[in-house]
Formats: sequence, C-alpha cells, structure tokens
Amino acid sequence: MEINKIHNTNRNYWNTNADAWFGTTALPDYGVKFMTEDDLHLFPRAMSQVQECFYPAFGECREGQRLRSLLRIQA
Amino acid sequence: MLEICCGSGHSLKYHADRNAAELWGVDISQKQIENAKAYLNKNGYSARFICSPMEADMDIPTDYFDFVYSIYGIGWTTDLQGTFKKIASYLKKDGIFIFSWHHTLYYCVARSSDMRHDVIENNELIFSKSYFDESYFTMPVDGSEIILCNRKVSTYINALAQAGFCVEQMIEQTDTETMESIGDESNKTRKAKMLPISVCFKARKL
Repeated sequence: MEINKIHNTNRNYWNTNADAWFGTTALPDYGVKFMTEDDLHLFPRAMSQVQECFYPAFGECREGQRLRSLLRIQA
Repeated sequence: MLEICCGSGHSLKYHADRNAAELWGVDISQKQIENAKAYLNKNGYSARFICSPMEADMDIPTDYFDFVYSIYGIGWTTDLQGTFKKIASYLKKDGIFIFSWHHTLYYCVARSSDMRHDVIENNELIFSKSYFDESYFTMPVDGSEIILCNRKVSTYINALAQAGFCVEQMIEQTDTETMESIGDESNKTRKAKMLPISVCFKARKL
C-alpha cells in the first residue's frame, strides 16, 4: 500500500477524532487492561534527580548509589 | 525527553508533573498538537512540538535525549526499522526508549477488524488471522477509517537490535484488577485474562 495513502488516511482520522480521544491511553497507562507505570516504574520516579546522575548509570557510579538511596528514602 | 505520537499531551504533562527538564512532542495530526499545546499551557507547562509522521526527517537534535517514549504510537509507523534508527539517533548513549502498542497477537486472536471488536465463540479465543501476515489492512472506526498492520514480536526485537538497542524489559501483563475481576464478562475482559492486550518494551541505546 502506498505510504502517502496510509499517512493521509490516518492523519485525517486523527485530525477529525482528536477530541474524542482526548486524554485516552496516556501515562501512567500503557494500554487497555494493562499494567501501569505505577506498577512497572520504567521511568525513574524523581526526574529532577536524573540530571544529577543519568538513570541508566544506576549502580555504576557513586552518584547513582546516592540517587538510589535518595529514592529509597522517598519511597 | 521526547514523545513520539504525543496525542493530546497527557503523557507529557505526566512527566512535567515529575520535573522533566525539557519536553518535546511529535504527532502526525495538527489537531492533536493544538490540543496538546493548549492542555500543557492550561497546566502551566510548555513543550516543543513537531507535526510530522515519525518516519520523516525532522528538526530534532541527535545524541540529545535521555528518554524517548511512545504510548500506543509506534504501531502507526510505515517504517519500523527506519523509525527505530531515528529514535536511536535522538538518544544519548545509554538513553532509554520505552514504547507500548497492541500485543503482537492482538489482531490475530479473537478480533474482528471489520467490526472492530473482540469475538469469543463458545468460550474459545479463535485464531483468525495469520501471525505472519504483516500486510496493511483498513479498519472502519467512528464512521471513518484507519490503516494499520500487525507486526510479529521478532519484527520489533530485530528492528530494535538493528537500530542499536538492547532490550532491558518486555512486558506483556494484564493488570491485576482485570485478572482478579469476577462478574465482568465482557469479551475484552475475557480475552485479557487469557492473552495480553498490549505489549511494552524498554530498550537502552548501546
């Protein structure tokens, strides 16, 4: 199927029906009848602290250990 | 962080409420972006928005984001591999990509695309569409129509690997409330008790 046709069809749908879907399937929800971000914690809980120590470095640097203990205190 | 298919902006607000430093949103629909902009402004936040298909070349910085995510958006792409490569380029090294979409069996099992609802016969989930069929199909929705395709789980995993991601987590779990529900005998609930309706991936850029 032609890509332009797919884009045009889907764009038209969303331009027409955006209001009907306002706020639907958004965080903390990942999908219908599915575990939520409140269950899964895929994102770090305190985003402001991510700037101090980038999240994937958890456990690899001293700042990461400090961040983990901070989060533990908050929890 | 950057959201692909930001819709009405509610997920961006979720992150703004949690002190995300910078918010970017991409969506193919101008109306969705207008809604998102208004919703964030109403809540005292702002974001940078780009109206574009996610597959297209966009004015988005590379090696820049800590997180790129998409809640029920990635399946709209017409080029999964190209989209993942672009997303990898936007992320810093070790940056995180999180996305959810229909489970890879969703359109294959107990689902009528023509009627757009779940079909259960004699308490059995009928496997009605080939899992191998990744061709596009048109589905009527709300008096209009959309065009989608179903993709295999290997298609997602291999595209992530090719784009330079390592999968840290793949989640296919119906929520506890549904699993433990008694009395709700809707087809959606019965299906969700036997099969995940959605799937979620968390991947890290290598």
